[in-house]
Amino acid sequence: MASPKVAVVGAGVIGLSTALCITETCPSCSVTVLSDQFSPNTTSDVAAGMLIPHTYPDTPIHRQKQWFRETFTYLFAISNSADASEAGIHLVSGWQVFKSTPKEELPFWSDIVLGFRPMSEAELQKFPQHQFGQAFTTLKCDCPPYLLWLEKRLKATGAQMSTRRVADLWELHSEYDIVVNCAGVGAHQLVGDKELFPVRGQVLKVHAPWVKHFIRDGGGLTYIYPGIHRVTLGGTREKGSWSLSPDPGATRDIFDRCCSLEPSLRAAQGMEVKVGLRPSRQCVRVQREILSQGGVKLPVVHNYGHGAGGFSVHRGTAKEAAQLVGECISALQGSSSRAKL
Amino acid sequence: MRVAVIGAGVIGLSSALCIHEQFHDLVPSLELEVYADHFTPHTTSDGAAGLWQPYLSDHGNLQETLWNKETFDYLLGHLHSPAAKEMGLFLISGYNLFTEPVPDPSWKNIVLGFRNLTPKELELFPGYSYGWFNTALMLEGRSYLPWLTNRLMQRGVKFFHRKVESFQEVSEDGVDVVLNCSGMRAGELQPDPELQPGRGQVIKVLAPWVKHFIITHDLKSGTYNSPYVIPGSEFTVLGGIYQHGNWSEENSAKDHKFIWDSCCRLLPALQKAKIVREWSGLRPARPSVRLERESIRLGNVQAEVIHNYGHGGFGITIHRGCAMAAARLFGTILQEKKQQLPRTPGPRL
Repeated sequence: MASPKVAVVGAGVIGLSTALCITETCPSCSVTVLSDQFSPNTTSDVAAGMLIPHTYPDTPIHRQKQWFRETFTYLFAISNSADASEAGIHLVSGWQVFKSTPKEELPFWSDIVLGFRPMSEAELQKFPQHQFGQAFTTLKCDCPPYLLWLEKRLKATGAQMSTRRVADLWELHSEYDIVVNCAGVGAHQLVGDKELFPVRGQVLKVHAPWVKHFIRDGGGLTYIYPGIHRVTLGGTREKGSWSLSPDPGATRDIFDRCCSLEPSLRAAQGMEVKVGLRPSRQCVRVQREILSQGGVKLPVVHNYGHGAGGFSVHRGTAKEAAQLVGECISALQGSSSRAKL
Repeated sequence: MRVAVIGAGVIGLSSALCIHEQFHDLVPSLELEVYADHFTPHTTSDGAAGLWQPYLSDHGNLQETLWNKETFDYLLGHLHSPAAKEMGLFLISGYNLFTEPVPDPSWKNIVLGFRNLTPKELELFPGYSYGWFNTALMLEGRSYLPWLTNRLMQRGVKFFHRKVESFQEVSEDGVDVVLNCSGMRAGELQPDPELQPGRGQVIKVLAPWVKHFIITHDLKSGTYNSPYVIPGSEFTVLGGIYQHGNWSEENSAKDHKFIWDSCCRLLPALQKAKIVREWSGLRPARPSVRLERESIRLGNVQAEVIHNYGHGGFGITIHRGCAMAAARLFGTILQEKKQQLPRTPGPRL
């Protein structure tokens, strides 16, 4: 197979980074990204893009840690280069604060982020309602810049991007040799995965350029994440809700919760309200599958279900998915040479 | 009782405010006047980035360390007040970088979360093998000075846009106490060979992705002669110039190149930053701050002068402690004047 044709369905951070990894591991592949939405209209564009992992209950911790480490290392290098501002990647320091001391004082990722340590008494004075906290420095991927930068890198490799709503993976079998499913929350419909469910998140994006630190309430429901131009205030976690309409009651509630963590936000300007559906699953599905219909086989690699942690593990899962694509290619080449015998 | 404050930088305005806040109730006849030839945004304080950070070593000057602490604690106390944004006050964290291990600074327990840098953090800064991380405060002059001015105007303090040529000038006009907060040009009011310019130059850029201050140190070239990057609420300030004895307030192309090249080497992402402004200013440098009383015989009058100048590159860092100390000196003068009056029924001066 001289030039395997690979279709990547989905153009959020997972689709684009997976496509990019495929062009890196398989330069002879012809890669096309197909999606009904591109930046700035993907779920990724709503997210703050903070590298603070979400823990997947059914994925082994060592695997999650590996994904996070790879992602952090990759982005760390970009943040330290001349590309950083174009890619939207920057370091940010801050605090994760808890109203009562958490069971797990050292999360699995504490040695990957920078300078992780418990907060001092003096630092905790800033948060009178909180008893315990952790200070660290991590990375943030601002969207749309990061997605646009990925698109630019992809185009430079010759990969194609096409606006197209894929209703069924089989649609693609005549044009493509391998399909990579990075449809995010769309996988619920696209491949009928009932284990995938939306967790609706509403966020506010405000102009408050004096806010230089992130603040996250340990539970993760309330957070303040300063980006390049706007600060993302969050949030909500509504399991099973498919609604993309902003809820004014939630807006007020988010704003109040964030102002109680950071009173200076009262002076913030220019509020935009956004909603995204986290593509949630007990474990991220990074997996090969061979679909079969009427004697025709279609190799599929799944990479979806990252829920609240897409940015934190995107590069790690993209690399793993690209490896699986490599395996699919070997299998196809193996069977085609067998066919010749 | 007329009090003239000479100078409307951070030192003059904060000293005026401290004195008015503490004494105007006690001294109903108190008339406070601010005289300056430059007001915000044209003062030295306006050019500074506004980062609270003292020099590395206090040279045994414990008094200055205490004033620094008083200022930090005062500002920290205002962080959650509704005025914080208007004051230009916010928390900021960042890095101090060295090419060799150094002793901890006098201010390590004043700032928040002071610690050494980890090896992984040092990877961010090739060429530097040691450093600190801490959380400090920004107090942007371009917001703080207008805020101080508004507070003073609300209190009825009068402002006069004119250059005071001598203490005699104001004393003859009937001013009882003079606060000399004239910064760099204090020598024109009274010669002081210890006061020298520490010329600085800065480039202001748009780089909103920078969220930390980064201050490098070259122990051989001295304070501020090594690149630094300080993100403000709107612009990021790039600097790294300290020229002792240089009175020029003109931007130098050579200094521009040094700042730009060395800051871009430090933070490659800055290469894409848009330059918005360039500015040069003179830090009023002195071996120690001159904060003391002086009674000067000027013609027929005994003038009381409180000197409060010579804050070098740490004016914003130390201003509140010094303003409070100046107010205490003022209180002493008041006390003495009261004792000089014949006893009259009726309560106050």
